[in-house]
Amino acid sequence: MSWTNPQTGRRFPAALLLILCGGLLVSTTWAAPYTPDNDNTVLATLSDSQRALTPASPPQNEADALRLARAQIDYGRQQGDPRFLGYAQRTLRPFSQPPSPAVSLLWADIEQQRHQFTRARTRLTELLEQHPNQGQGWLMLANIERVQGQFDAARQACGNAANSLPPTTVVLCQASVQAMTGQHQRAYATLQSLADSPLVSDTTQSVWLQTLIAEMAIQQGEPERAQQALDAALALAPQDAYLRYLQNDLWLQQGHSDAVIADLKNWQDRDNALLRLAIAGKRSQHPQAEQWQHAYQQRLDAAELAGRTVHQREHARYLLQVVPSPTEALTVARDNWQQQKELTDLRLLLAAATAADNDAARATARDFIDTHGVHDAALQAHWPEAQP
Amino acid sequence: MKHCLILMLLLACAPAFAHKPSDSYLTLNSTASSPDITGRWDIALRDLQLVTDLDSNNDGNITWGELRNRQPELAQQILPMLTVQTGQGETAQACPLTLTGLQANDHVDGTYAALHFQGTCPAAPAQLGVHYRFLFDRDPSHHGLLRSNHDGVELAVTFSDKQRRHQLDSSGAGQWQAFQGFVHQGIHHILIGYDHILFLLTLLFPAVLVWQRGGWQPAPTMRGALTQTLAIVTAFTVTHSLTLALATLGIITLPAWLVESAIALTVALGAAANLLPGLFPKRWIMAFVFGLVHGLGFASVLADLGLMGDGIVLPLLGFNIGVELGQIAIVLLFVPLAYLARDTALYKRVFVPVGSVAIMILAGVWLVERLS
Repeated sequence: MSWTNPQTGRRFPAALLLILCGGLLVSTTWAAPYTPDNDNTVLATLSDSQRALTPASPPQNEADALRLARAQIDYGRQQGDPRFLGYAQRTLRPFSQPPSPAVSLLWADIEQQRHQFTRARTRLTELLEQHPNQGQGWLMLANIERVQGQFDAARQACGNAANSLPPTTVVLCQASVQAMTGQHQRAYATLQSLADSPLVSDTTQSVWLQTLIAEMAIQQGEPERAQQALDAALALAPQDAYLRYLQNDLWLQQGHSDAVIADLKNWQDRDNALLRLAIAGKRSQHPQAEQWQHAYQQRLDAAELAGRTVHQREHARYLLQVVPSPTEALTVARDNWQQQKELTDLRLLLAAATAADNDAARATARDFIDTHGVHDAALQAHWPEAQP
Repeated sequence: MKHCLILMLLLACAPAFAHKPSDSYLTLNSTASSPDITGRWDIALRDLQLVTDLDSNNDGNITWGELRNRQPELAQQILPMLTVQTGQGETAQACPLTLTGLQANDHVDGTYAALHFQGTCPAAPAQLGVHYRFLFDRDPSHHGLLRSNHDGVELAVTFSDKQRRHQLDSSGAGQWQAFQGFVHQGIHHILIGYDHILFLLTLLFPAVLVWQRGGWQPAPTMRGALTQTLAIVTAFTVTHSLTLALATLGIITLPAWLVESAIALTVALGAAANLLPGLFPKRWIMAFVFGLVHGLGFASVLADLGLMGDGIVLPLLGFNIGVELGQIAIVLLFVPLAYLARDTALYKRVFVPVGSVAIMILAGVWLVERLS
């Protein structure tokens, strides 16, 4: 008790002000502005690609607009920078009343990247009713259905793509679904033999193939094989963000926190790198661990403030592996499960349910596993008896 | 095209975004007692670059000097993307904004330009309408996050391509929210204000007793105890409400040290009266007189929030109601317990005298500290 504090008279207003501002202090992290010391202080650096991809005047014809929007979407995906989706939206806007099939496909791509799955699905379904030969559309639809756990629909969409796409593409499409539906062994074998054959020569397709093999090897509990495939894929696409995160997750799984920190230290401006740094930092008691955690928390707060919830999978993982707060993690993991039902999401749901000791959530995961015959080494750890 | 589609499928499942989406951060401060508004608008340099070329020497870096040189463009082209008005519909009148300063600010995803601005409305705004048009024609996914503070009441709204206008605090709901905010502050203030609580309790200690034949006797009826309590609380309320209003409206002004010291003195005197009940037979009179002092203490809170002058009636009323609610809660908690315990020797011979002495000492310490 500070009853005898001479500041008593000022304590009341101070407390009131604290209440007024408290909500803000908690919910936001708006920094204080400052005046840089000198005119040469560099405040920001612009990349050449960024300049090239944001021309002052937007394209006036559809062909140019399609090219630019495609480049913007791809660059944004490669860099993990959502602003470029907004730019692509702007590029496509004048050609969207009504959109041609090519424009529709780009819109659907933007939407699915924003996790607006329902909207993307509706758009694609309408498009494919009129233009069933848009193989790319079928692939995208298959992907959305698979991500959301609608495996029959996903299989069917892969099949429909066969009319307009090469067989190897369809095989890859089907394999990604089979991996979740009890035919994992068969798909794994098919992909391995495909990798040994000369059928896949195209670089992008090879990267896709090796990525799938790496993921299935992890699923199979064969980290060395996964590493082989990852090496092969990364040799072809060293800057690929998805592959790098996959590599880092494999390292984390094997306890190589140092490798993660060394690899991602220069990628701190990316949320997903920051999350993995925070996990690795915490596990290895790195001096910067708290700083990374704090920075990631700030990003979450900023997203929440803007009413965006794209990051649920990562948010749940952060709550589970960094904070850690199993109960909160489970809440977010469950919300995420409503949206996404990939293996990663299933692992997260189960890990959070186990950490929070929640039988209902465990049952949800268990139901899904039993219904679809999901096989996964990481899941097996939770139920030794559930797997053969 | 085949490359694209395969890449697309491969990466469609890529984890959520890394960089932050495009947001600007806006604060707006206004009061109902002044036509002036002030604010700050933080815009990411990357976003600003889309609209006005900041990199004058084309070296790929945006320096502080380059940003500063663009100040005229920021004032003439960027700031007008934000318009603030008072009133609604046909009665709406613009509050023209001017750029008053430029700084840099580091947010989680990089450096922003911080535009300080101020504006003057035709009249003190009861409600503000904000129209936000920045960047939507370059990035339709851009958001503007506004945090407004009107007379201490916070509102947060988000502008997007589809929602470019917001009316702040215009509805009855907004005013009701503001009012509730002040009620809460009043409650909070009395509950954390030890000296006010202590004064009230000191007066209430003997409310369940009567002084007869040189000693405390339990009040014979509930009615008697309630009458005493009610008289004390009412008297205290009437006078502290009065001085709270007078001080807040600026009619009385006394230095804080004097008011705080006087409050400590009232607590000490209240405790003394419990020890010498013969000298202070009518406790409600004491509450009535000393309430004047405590009201001045409450007023300092509103003054410290910068709430003085014309637009004060609503906050004042809310705050006062809050104080009374808090006071009632204390009374309802204390008096029934005291009534039940009134017949015990512990209450009459120990609690009242010893408690009063302790309070007197404590108040004496406060008094010395506040005077020094």
